[in-house]
Amino acid sequence: MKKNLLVKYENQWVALSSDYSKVIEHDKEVENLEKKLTKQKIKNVTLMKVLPFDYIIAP
Amino acid sequence: MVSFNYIPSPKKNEKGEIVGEIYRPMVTVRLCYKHKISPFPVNCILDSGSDRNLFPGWFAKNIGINLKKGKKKIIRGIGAMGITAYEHEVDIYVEDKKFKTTIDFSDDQQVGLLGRSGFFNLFQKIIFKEKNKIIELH
Repeated sequence: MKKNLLVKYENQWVALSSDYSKVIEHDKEVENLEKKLTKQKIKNVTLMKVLPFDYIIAP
Repeated sequence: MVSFNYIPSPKKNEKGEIVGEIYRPMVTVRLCYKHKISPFPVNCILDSGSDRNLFPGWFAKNIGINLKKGKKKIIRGIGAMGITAYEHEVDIYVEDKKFKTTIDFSDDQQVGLLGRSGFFNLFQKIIFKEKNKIIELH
């Protein structure tokens, strides 16, 4: 995946193309993203939450 | 053996400027409950510090699970307030391999976490290749 691919999608859910080269669709809510994908009959994607860019995860 | 690449996410400094990226180990999974499979695969963080699996509540509802019918529990992070989650038994697919597992689902959770009990213990060996940014599941 290109390092800057997700820059425009902070704190959103994205649908990535099968080779992770582009974002096919996006939305703030995963429910809405799935609705958009289903409506457009898009299938070959992987969903991912783009966490806030100042977010540091600790267990 | 199945392998996945770490996923880069932009990183901001205190001024809000993008100053590089954080690579996170992520695994692509699908969930299934009573033969209803999630319509899209989702990338989840492979979290060796997490005791259990924890997913956003939507992923339960999406495969026909009544979220609040599960065993209620409070999940705590280090130094964080607890969140309410509900435990459910589901099948999880990693590529074409299916495993039975237990996942805690919470509407307060933003991203899927794959933890030691319920994911790591499904495999003989999990290797984090930090320099190459690759995870191997054996």
